[in-house]
Amino acid sequence: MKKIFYIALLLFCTNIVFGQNKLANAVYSLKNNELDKAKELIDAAAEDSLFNNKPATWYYRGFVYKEIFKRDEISKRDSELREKSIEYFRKAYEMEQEGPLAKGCENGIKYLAQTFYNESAVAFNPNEYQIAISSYERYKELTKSVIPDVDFTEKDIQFNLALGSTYNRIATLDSNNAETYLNKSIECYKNVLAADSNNFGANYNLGIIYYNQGVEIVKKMDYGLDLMELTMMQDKLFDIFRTSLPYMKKAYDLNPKRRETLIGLEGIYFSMNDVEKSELFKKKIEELDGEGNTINQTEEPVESPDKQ
Amino acid sequence: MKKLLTILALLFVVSFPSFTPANQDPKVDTNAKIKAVFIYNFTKYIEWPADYQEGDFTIAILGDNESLYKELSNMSKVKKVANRPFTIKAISNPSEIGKSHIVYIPEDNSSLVAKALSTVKGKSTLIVTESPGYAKKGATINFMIAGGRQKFELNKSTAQQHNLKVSSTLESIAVLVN
Repeated sequence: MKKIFYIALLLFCTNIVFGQNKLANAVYSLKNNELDKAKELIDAAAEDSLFNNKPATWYYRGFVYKEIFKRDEISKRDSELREKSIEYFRKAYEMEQEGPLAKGCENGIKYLAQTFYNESAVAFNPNEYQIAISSYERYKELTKSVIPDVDFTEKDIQFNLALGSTYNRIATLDSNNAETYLNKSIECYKNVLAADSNNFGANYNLGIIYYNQGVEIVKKMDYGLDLMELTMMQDKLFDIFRTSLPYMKKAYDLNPKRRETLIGLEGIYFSMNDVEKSELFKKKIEELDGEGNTINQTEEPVESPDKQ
Repeated sequence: MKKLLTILALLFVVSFPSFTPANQDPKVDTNAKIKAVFIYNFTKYIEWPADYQEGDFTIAILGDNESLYKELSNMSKVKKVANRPFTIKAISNPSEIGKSHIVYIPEDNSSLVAKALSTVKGKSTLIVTESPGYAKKGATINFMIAGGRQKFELNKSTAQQHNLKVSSTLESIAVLVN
């Protein structure tokens, strides 16, 4: 009986020492940048019932997976390593929400959230914009999980501006669905203005989108339009140009030296048959050109408006 | 181990694309297009006498109005008047009016209206102007802006003097002047 007790004690102690070694060795390997070995050891530790209830095990597992993700899959959008890393950091964070380890988990999750943000930032193009949207949502969700009172206002503005421009670009490429994408673009810019009514970009682009809608209707207008239809069409056009006006005026107020806004207002007033005001802005353009202090595409990488 | 916990997670932050202004469509003379549609309607709702119902239907622009000339030229490619093709011409002198069905005189050339009117005296030429008050000065139709919309004044008695029959539909939409 006494013999059996000592054998059991020996086995118990061996197990503890071996388990501790797995965790300690994983951390040692991590310090030495032996990531694959660290992964093997930390995976084993996580399977060990003596250590899988310890937050440090999950923290280091998250950390090791994050490092391997950085090394091997930083550009891979559907990286499983990243997902696992998030899962392990979260598990550790649930177990210990204060202290240096919790802080480490927060940093780890914030880092991985930032990779989603970066992924979103480079996907604002007609082919990948859906990735831009989903990655940005993921970035927000992860960030919020560790900083509950985080304020996304400024980032949401940048996101909506970028997405609005992308939808606008798609509208020019996909004429069959142009209206759908322009409406999406309008929604994005209105989101921006709801957060910041003084945003130049959203005001200017809304003014232009509505103006262009009117111009497109005119371009497509049939010469055989009947008198009554023509009257109704004029009412519709007037409403569209009137809708574009306050946005362009606001853009002008915010940046009166920007050439695009002057061209925009000249065009809008002209289309509303307000020749006097159209001429006024035409004169302002000439004055600005004469002063040589036009702010246009030299300030930012912009596409300049065409002019007939 | 403690040191590892404090390692800062550094990552290069990529910014969202900077603001890109939407491309503004080239300035389109909406007014010219609408006038072209009105003018096409004039050809439908005004009846010219028999001796004007053969050959091309001629519209002359007296003076410079590039936008309208372009619109009327485009219209002439896709529309006809009772199976007759359009001829659109730009002229600089009233003496070139000839047997035009419609003569359009832009505001900048209002000084030529009087001479044009004397040239078309006794002819069935519809004089269309775009200067305030000209429907009372001899033009049959004068374009005007009201409430931001393109409208037109119609002088029925002038139309009758030129032997032009104006339909009630056109009258109903016009601002009638005497």
